[in-house]
Amino acid sequence: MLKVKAGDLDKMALLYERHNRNLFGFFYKLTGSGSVSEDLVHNVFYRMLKYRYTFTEDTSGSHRFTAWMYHLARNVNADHYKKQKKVSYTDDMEPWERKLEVDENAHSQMAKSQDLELLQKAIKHLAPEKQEMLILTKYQGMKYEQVADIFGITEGAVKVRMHRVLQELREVYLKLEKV
Amino acid sequence: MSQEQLKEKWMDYMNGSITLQEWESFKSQADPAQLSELEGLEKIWLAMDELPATPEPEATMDERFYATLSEFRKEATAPRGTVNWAGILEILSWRRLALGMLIFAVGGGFGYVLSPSGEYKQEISSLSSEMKDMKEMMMLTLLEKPAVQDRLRAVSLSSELPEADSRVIEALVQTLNTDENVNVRMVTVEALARFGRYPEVRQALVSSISRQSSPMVQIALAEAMVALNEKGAVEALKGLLEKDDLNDIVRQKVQQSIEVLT
Repeated sequence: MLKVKAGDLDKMALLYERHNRNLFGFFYKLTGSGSVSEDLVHNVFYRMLKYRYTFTEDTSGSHRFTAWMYHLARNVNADHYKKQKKVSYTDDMEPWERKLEVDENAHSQMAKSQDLELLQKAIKHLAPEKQEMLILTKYQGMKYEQVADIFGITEGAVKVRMHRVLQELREVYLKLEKV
Repeated sequence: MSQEQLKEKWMDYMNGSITLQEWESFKSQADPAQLSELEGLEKIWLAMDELPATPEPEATMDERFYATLSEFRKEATAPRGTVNWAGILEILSWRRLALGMLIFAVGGGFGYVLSPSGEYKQEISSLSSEMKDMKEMMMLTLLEKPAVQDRLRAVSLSSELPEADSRVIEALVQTLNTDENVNVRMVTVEALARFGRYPEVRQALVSSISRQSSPMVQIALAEAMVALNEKGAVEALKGLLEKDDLNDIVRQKVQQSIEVLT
């Protein structure tokens, strides 16, 4: 990326080839839409080119570029949600609870595909930041250290948050399961 | 092992920081009650692996990226200083352009209405001419006053005159050659030098060199000749050097001036 910053724009093609699929996966898990994810990947690389002068290398090593890329990706994702304004993210599940009709046998009757659909729904109902952290650790195969760099927090704080995210995800899942 | 430590180890295992064997080792030391919550979380974590895989993006994504990269390449290789007129026109939409032109037209209209008329301009010109005549009259009157201050003031008034007519030049030359006060004569040298563009003034200054007895006025004249680059003054300055009673400092200054002018 430093070469891109210095004016060698051809090197951006290498970075694109190396990272575009991962980035597409990140957005796909967040949005569930291929075409939207393609747009968002394009936005990230456009911003990289436009703001290439803001990239700075530090002594932390090779993860610096990845952290910068996902930092931009999170901003692009935030802008996307602001534009959409379709989904209201809330930690409060009362609106769902009002719809619930308790059925003790529901869990046992659900097919596997339905369970996974519920899990997907449960993930979508987490706050965007929590979804991002979950996807980065689970699907992007990132270590807590890298996630900490992207979120600007300590590694210990990532572990604590991730544990809470999983607890919340489980709670939401169990509630949805009873619908 | 505390519940917090166990959670942390589980989180490490989930993230691949510790191996399954290490995790099993920690689990065996834990209380079964402590593990119940983690088992629930582990189910969710493992179930996430079953979610549909991410599909491949369409080829259009790559095409868009390379088109964008090409645009940035063109921009980066464009010669510096090139004006992006298309960009400027894009920013300046027709509405903004129209508003700008309207403001310009209104400003121009006000300027035309409020600008002085021809008659008014003539009046100003007439007043200006009267002021010049008054200053000239005052200067000539003051030059004849006995008080040195008045005569100094008269010479300084000459600097306020944009142009000098023959009466003013004549009066100043007479003051330079006849005034008894050294200070008055010195400021007169400066005043006349300002009108150095007139040949008669240069001639008068050159002629005055041999008439001056004051070392200060002699030096002032020598400097004025250098400033005006008046080569015709060389002979007059050489004449000064022939005077036996010439001040040493003046002699040195005159010699330097001659060197510069020749």
